[in-house]
Amino acid sequence: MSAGPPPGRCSVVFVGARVIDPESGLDGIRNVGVAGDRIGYVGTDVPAADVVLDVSGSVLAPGFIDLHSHAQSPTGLLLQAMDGVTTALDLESGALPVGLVCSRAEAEGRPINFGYSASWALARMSLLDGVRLPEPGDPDPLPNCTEIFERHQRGLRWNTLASPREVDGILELLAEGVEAGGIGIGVLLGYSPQSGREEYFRVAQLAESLGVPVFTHSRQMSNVEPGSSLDGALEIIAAAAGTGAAMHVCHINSTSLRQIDAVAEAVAAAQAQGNRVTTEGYPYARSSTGIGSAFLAPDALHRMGITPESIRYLATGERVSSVRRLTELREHDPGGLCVIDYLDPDDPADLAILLKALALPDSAIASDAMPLVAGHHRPHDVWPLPDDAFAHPRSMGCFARTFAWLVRELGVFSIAEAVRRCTYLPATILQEAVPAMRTKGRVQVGADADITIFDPATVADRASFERSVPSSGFGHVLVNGVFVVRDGRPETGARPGRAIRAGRRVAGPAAAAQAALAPTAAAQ
Amino acid sequence: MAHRAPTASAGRRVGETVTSTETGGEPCDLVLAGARVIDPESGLDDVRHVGITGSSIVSVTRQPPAARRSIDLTGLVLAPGFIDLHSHAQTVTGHRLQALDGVTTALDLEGGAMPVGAALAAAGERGRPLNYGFSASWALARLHELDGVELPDGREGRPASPLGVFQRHQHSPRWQRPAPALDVDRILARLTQAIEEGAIGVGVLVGYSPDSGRIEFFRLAQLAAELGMPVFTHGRFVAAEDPRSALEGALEIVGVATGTGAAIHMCHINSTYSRVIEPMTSAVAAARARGVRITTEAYPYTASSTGIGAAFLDPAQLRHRGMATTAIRYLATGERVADEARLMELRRSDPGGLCVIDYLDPQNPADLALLHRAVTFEDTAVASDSMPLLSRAGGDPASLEDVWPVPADAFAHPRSAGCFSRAIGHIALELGLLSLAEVVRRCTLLPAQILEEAVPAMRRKGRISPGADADITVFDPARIRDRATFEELAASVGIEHVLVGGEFVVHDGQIQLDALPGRPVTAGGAS
Repeated sequence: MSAGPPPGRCSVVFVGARVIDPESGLDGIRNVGVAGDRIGYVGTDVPAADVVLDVSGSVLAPGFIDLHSHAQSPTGLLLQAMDGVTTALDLESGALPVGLVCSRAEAEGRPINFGYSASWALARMSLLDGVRLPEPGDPDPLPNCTEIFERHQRGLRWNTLASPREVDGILELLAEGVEAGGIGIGVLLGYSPQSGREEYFRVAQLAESLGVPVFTHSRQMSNVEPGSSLDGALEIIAAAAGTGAAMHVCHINSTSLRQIDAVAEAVAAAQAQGNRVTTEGYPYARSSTGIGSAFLAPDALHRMGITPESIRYLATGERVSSVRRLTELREHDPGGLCVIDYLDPDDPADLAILLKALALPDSAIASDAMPLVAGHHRPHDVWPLPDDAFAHPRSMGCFARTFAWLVRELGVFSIAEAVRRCTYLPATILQEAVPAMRTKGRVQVGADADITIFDPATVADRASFERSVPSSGFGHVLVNGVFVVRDGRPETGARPGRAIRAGRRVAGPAAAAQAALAPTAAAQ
Repeated sequence: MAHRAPTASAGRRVGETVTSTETGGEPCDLVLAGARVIDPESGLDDVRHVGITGSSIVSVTRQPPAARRSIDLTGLVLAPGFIDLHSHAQTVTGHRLQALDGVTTALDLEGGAMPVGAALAAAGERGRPLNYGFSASWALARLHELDGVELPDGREGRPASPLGVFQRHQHSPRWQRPAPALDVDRILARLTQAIEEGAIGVGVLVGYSPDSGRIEFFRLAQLAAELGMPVFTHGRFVAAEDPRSALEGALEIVGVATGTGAAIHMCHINSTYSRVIEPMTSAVAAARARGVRITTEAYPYTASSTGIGAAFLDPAQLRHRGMATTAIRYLATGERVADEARLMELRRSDPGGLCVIDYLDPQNPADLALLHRAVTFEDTAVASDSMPLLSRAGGDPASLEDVWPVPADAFAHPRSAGCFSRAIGHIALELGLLSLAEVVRRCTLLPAQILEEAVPAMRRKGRISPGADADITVFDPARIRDRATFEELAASVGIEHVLVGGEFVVHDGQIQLDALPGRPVTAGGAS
């Protein structure tokens, strides 16, 4: 067979892998050549190349696309690269001002592709509580936007109603953020449950008018009424139906709790009627966030069915022993990261809830990767990891765990289906608004050379709540044709990552890139 | 039901001669000749002759058919009889006032009944001028299961009026709270039973129990979707702004309709959503465009009416709405409620006592624009929310259930007698906000279509075509007007003839006191 036009000379050809391309349905042994920053060849020949690597026995897949990563530092993104990720986007929380944050990260360099939504939380905090956002004169590195949010969530006005005029101002900042390349609007609604329902509806209307999606951490996370998880899901669904906007439900695993059956039915019914509702989940029974979050207030814990002891405070590693201690930590370090046992993984009923959320049809795998914490510091660009560095293990093991646990151990997904949920599916969730995504998530001639090669028999997450260790089993990871992981080891100096922006292609005109995609791979 | 001849005093337009310009075939019983016939389904809007035999329309022709009897209706409009999706006036007197407003089918779908078999039996036993029907009352099922309220089940000593039972008990302690899942199971079982007895969908007065569970509403809608039944909802909230705004209530309905696939009908969007009408209609239009099954209705008045004990008339709620207590008129005494203390007193002593609420200011053009936006919103049915009559003199309302003429001391919100004439005479013909054909559609075909998936009998109503039920309203476009006010419950004028199942209920503008041709309209089967 021939796969598209004869390639120019390839920099590297991977030989003998099981190539999975979810869009075309290709799942077979092929050779894949990389030419520049694109895939130049997919077929059974071995085109001329500088390097030929035998990867027999491995799976060659599109690089994983993470819709939900707060680990927006060179170190955080390198840990994700070692988990197979080639594009890590912070869409739930987002950034502001998007143009500045994006261009500074670009100048600094990132190992993998990155991008941000326009942050509703930061727009709201800056307008209502006067929180200072990054400015052009600030030194490198700019603070992580998620961190700015976490530090200020006890602000006086943040979790209150905004006036109609204030909402106008918030929407204006968000529109600017999208125009500056923000990939839609990220709405941390669950951290401001007292914000207005009309405000959220207007955010969705704005997104629809701008042609971009909304990424929502649902307002509610509760087994009990009022304000149950179902109410939270229905609010998002109503915004999708009532505005026509594309609404993405973040980590449906952790926000649905024991309402998962009803939430799943509601999402399925909405999707069946053509509403643009999409979902994601991560395969852990523990979540992680700043300890000052609204839903971790002592009088709110029963809503999630948890106690203070369900919370581990990462700066000290302690389990929170009492309501008093929780109150104290929330007061002194509201942004201090913690880990929450929202389900009990040893309880079969709880495990079933988690698996149901993850196995929803067309639900993407997305990590919710968190910034690293080392004591009271946040490592930004160091390697190897400091001994005391820690983050929720999803930050470096989410994707490996998908293949090791969900595929190999539990048989929840086939390999091909898991690959689809890590690659093509997230690309399609974004590609209407983000032309750059039309050439990602594919192993096809002309597609971006974002490639992940792993051993399906041994790929494993190694990070735990005790140890921050990169995943193993990812032999090679390429971003825009450049190795960031080679022979299982990180290329610590490589910075091939590019900024992903809405409505604009990273390099070259979108139409040409799209046209260059040959409908090849399934040909044989 | 046999066709009944007009009374001896039949008017000037009745001719006894048989007209026959068509040969062959049996002459029909009656021809309504020469009116401007509006049939919204076919788009017909022209002079025609409508032949009726028995209870059905048998012909719609350019030339008069052979007929045993003919009435010349030149200069009048002949339309399908009006179908009222929202009438609590389920008494003989109430029906007669509605008949004089052009209504031929009056359904209580927002409040509903429970048990429905008993309500249908009681109406059938006494007889009704108009076709009638009920949804399954979520409120009564809930009051019964949670608070032990006795249902109007037709047994000796039990209350008779579903609406009355609801209004008297709306301060019951558990009614106002979320129900445990097991209680929800029992409530849903009662609703299912009512649907088996012929209820048309489920009526959900969630606005009267705003703290009831949202999961309960979702599960109810799932059940309705499974049964192929619509849900009729009085929205949960009414305030203009967050928190607990009317928009939140509207979006709850949008979310539940989207998340269950159920057909959900939003009752009286004019009163519940008036202050959020722009975002509300925008959300509903967008959802409809995606195939979400949400329907709407409105009545053309700036005042609403309900029991003074309603949750949304709580003083704190009024403050949140920015509404003064003096916007409320307590009908038993006619007083405007002076202050919060008086309001509290009335809510305690007479929670079911009817009152009228000026939810918009009719003197304020901006407020009127909100009303008109609601009434003219695309595909919004005209529905009256007719209320049962009360006695200003404090007499037993039961004594008003079957009296004519309406006693001078009887009162109810004027929509109970004038809604449809007001929609046609005032909104369409006087203000020109809707064309005549469009307002007729909103009174006839549109409500029929809202119901017909669940209620096959509705496929034969709301149309002027051969095979359709002979439910027909003939009105004079030059004269049609509502006359009822808050002071006097006067019948509308300009409605010349109303036929229900081929029988005159109104003839020459006069109510026909011995005519009780109304039939039950039930889900699933023919009436």
